[in-house]
Amino acid sequence: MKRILIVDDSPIIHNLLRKVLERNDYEVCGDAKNGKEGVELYEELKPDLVFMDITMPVMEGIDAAKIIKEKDPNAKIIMLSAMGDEAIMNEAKSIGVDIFLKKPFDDYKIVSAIAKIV
Amino acid sequence: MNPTLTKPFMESAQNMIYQMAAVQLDAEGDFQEQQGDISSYGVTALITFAGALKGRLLIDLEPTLASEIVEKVMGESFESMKDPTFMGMIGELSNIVGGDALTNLNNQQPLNLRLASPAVFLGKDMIISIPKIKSSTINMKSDVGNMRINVAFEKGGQA
Repeated sequence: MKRILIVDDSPIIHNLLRKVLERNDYEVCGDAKNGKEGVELYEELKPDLVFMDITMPVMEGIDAAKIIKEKDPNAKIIMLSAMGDEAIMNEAKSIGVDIFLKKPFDDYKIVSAIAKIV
Repeated sequence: MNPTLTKPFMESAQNMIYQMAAVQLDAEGDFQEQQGDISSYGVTALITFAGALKGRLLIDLEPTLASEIVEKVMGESFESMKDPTFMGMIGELSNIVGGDALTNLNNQQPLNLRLASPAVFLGKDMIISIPKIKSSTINMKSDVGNMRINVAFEKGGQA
């Protein structure tokens, strides 16, 4: 079973995304509420995949994804954000984010994205 | 107010709420300059944004509409709107509507607008006073209740 880390400052997104992942046979191995926690939990848990929000307190998702990718170039990261303009998407792409998804999401959107990279 | 700045918020509210909860919202006319205070419907979310411009989005929903959206998205009903999950979902709704609108604005012009975190208020007939800044409001209706969107912009954000 693939292990997934969720990094988002919204408890609602953790709740909704966990439901989607678990009913599609993925394990949520960790929940982080900002980028700094996300980096720390990534190093501790070594998940197969990270879902990363962008706008978060303490450390934003772009910065956290950059640190994770520098430490582990094989890390798989899906950005999941309410924002999705070209500037943000290009920035995410430049640091090696694997897939960029815009909220809202459903099972199909999430499962299709995972299938492309894991 | 320039309709190219306000219209994306109406379109995003329609599109995002339909995607999330299959609720069809119809606009009643166009955005109009807000005259005087707003008396709230009952469930209100406020989210600010900044970039080349600064501004904020206010989404005000009747409790029936808010409950319909939350129940459809979360797959469960809530005894009280004070439930943290209920209020959190309304905050997330404003984040998703605002994020989609700013995405469209940023793709049209280099505004580099970014959202802050939302705040949610509960209470019917709360007086929402909007001094010192011009704002525009559009009313929208659905089969399960009404909502209004109020948008304000001011210059002064970072370029």
